[in-house]
Amino acid sequence: MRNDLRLLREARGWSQGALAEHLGVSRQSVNAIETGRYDPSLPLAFAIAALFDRPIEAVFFPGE
Amino acid sequence: MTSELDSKRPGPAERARNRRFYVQVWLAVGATIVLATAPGLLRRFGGPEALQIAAAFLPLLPMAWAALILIRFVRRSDEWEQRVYLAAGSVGLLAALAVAIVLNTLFLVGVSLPLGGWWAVILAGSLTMFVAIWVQSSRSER
Repeated sequence: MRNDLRLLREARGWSQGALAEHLGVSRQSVNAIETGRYDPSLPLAFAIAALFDRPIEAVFFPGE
Repeated sequence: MTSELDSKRPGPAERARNRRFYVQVWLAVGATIVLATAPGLLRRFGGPEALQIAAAFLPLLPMAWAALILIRFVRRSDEWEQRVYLAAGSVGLLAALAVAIVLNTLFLVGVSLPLGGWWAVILAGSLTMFVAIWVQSSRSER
């Protein structure tokens, strides 16, 4: 699964640590999701989408 | 600006959580090591045998505390961290089992283990687990 998390985060001017604080997860988890090494669970994916005021399909896309 | 956004520094809540965990764990480890020396000291200074045996169970107290700290930390960890800890814990358990079996086999064939040789089981398990966590964390940073 691909995602635009890094772009969305940088558009807000947030570091990975800052985004992690907003989501209540670790910075390494944010990094793992951004780099595509980890696909988040549905609840976390929805939380990420909600944080950026976007539908989930505007943040996460199918594909490698 | 870009370097700030690329910072690998965890947020304040995560740093505080990790700091609290490491302080508590090292206190528990220290207490376990200190209490593990108690039976030997009692024996050296001629303490009653019943007291020596009772003292042999003392390290279980800080170990139980360490177990609670670990369980609480893992339960409060996020989903990616829990996956990392599960894999690392499994590898650490396997390493500890492997060393225990080898030491036991050596013991059975008559090889005398050095004093405290059984601590190798704990060392192998915990070190392997920490290395596995480090490897998985490093991979995710690439």
